[in-house]
Amino acid sequence: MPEGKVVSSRVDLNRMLEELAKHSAMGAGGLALFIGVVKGVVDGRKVRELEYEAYEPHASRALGEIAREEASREKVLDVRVYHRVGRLKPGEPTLYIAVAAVDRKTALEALSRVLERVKHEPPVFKLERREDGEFWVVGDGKRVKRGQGGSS
Amino acid sequence: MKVKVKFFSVLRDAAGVKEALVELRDGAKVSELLEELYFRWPKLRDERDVIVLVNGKPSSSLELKEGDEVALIPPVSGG
Repeated sequence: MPEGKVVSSRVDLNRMLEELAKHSAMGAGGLALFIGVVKGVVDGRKVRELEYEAYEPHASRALGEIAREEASREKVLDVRVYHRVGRLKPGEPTLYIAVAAVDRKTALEALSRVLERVKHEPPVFKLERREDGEFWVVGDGKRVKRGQGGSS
Repeated sequence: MKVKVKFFSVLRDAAGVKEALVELRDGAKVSELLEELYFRWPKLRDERDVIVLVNGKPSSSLELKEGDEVALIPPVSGG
């Protein structure tokens, strides 16, 4: 069953992949997996942590819609999307996307589509704490230093 | 009527509060709410990219109702 939601702890990857592999009985020939992790360096500066905040329940609803809509496409059998919130250190997983599909091309294309939607649809926000200060990450990578006012 | 307003990310810093209850005339539109918010927190005017969600959905011209929850968010940054 497709599922998407905000989570506050790590996802059990083995369990998730075992569940998705059961779709082989329905003709699945490939699983595609994407894991986002916290970068340790941005713009040459050391990152201490990222703090994610989600506007709930709307963020989980948006992730669920993405999973269900993308899983309803031809040759896609299942989609899972889990986005973490809270304070995460460099190297920690932030986002998990897994797709089960009939063939590799369908799986990889669905994975890429889901990732793009996750970047733009659910109301999730991040604050980057670095050695040179705190930065709000706005949209697709724009950084606004805290305390300087105005994101324009 | 009263509506609850939540601020996120850069807009929370600009307002200096996480959320607020705002009293408006019955049937007020989102634009009237924004004027009230800009009056209370002038720094919000400096923010160009403001997305308004009413009960979690994008909206600009909708009339507000008692008990609505409005969120002011910048472009999202998931992933």
